[in-house]
Amino acid sequence: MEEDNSLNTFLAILTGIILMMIMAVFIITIVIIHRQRQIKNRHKIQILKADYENTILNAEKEIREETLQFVSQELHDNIGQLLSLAKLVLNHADPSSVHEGRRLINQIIKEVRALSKSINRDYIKDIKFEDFLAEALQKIENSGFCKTQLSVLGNIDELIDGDKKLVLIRVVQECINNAIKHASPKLLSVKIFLKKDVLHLWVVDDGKGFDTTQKSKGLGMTNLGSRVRAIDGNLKVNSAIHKGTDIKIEVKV
Amino acid sequence: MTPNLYLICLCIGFLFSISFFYFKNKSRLSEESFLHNYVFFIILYVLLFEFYAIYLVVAGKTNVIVYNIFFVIGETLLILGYLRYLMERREAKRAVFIFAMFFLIWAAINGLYFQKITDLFQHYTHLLGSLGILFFSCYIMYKLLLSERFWDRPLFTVPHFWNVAAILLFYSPSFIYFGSLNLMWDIDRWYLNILASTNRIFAATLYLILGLSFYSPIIFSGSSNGRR
Repeated sequence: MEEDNSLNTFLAILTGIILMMIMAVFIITIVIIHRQRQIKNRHKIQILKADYENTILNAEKEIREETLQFVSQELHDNIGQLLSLAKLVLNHADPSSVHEGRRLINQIIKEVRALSKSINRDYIKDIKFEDFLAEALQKIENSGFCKTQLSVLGNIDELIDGDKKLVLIRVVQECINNAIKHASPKLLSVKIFLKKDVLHLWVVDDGKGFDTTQKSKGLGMTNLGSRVRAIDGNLKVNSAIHKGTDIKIEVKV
Repeated sequence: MTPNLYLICLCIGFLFSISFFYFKNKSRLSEESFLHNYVFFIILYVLLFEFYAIYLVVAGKTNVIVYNIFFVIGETLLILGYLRYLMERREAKRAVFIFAMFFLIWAAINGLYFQKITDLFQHYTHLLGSLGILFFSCYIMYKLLLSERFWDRPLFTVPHFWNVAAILLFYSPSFIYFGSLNLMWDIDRWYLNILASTNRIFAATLYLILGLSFYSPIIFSGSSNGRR
């Protein structure tokens, strides 16, 4: 009887120790797995950070390139023409020609000032997002390419930080360029509004549209998507042939 | 020897826990404030009922009812409450609540019909409570510490990691040891002492860790495992 009790006690102690060992192994495993996951997550965060910085840098670079292209076009098509005209006018020394020449030179000065403003590096950072959009759409309308419409609800500029604004500007530029290049729309509209701390940005055109089920040959849409994701946003593209394109971007602010 | 050691560790745990009230007022530790209050209450509660149990022994009275009410039922419910607070999913919290209700019903049935609460240690109640605590502790270890809440913090700097680990290590052997005391009442006194001492060592470790755990963000912030 006593021997039986001793054996039972021994077994009880042994079971307790075994159970405790299992729990200890379980805890150690959790610590190891947690550590490995942390290293993986840190690596992931580093990649995301690098990706984000890359997106911002690319956006800055592309905006600069686009601006330079615009400046070059303006110099050639607008200011160059005005200067040639001024030269022709001033070839004749009569007072009306001098007056006309003076008027032309004043116009050239104005145009050069506007151009220098757009070359200024800080211009994009300082300009309000809303003003930038209005200006971009105005340029399209002035060129007679299509009608444009801009609708902004709420004071969004206070909520978007500099880097996000830069990426959004680049994304909108890309959407507008795509519409101009491929869609031939009659109306291009941009709508911005805030809803529960989420900025909604819609770029809608009534142009040719495209089949969203077919894989695109270029990287345009993929780039747009990755840029929007880099600023913690979401991009949806709805389009159908002859029914226009509807690009909806949502960004947390 | 071990009863004294156990009480000393319990007192040290209590002192560490009470000193933390000074530290936690300093900004970044304030997020743990409520849980520290709760854990402090558990240590204080244990300290009080342990001293009351000693007083009863000194007075020549039996203290089994004190352990049945305050340890088997009370402490189990307090620890379940702590684990419930750590959970984030509503379903999990509900599961703990339902289990606690079932545990109370079972405690009443066991006390009335199987093991009289004034005479015997409530082994069957303790067994159920311990299993529940073990299950929910494993759940917290796996679900919460591994995947959701503390993924960006080194585990050693999370006080709840230490607390839950200590609870796991205490409850896994303790329900067997407490059960053995009932089932083998007539065994050799030497074996009984071994069981009781082992159990006290685990308990002392638990309360010491509960008292010290909230210092872990300070202690481990610069170590290799606390590296960010």
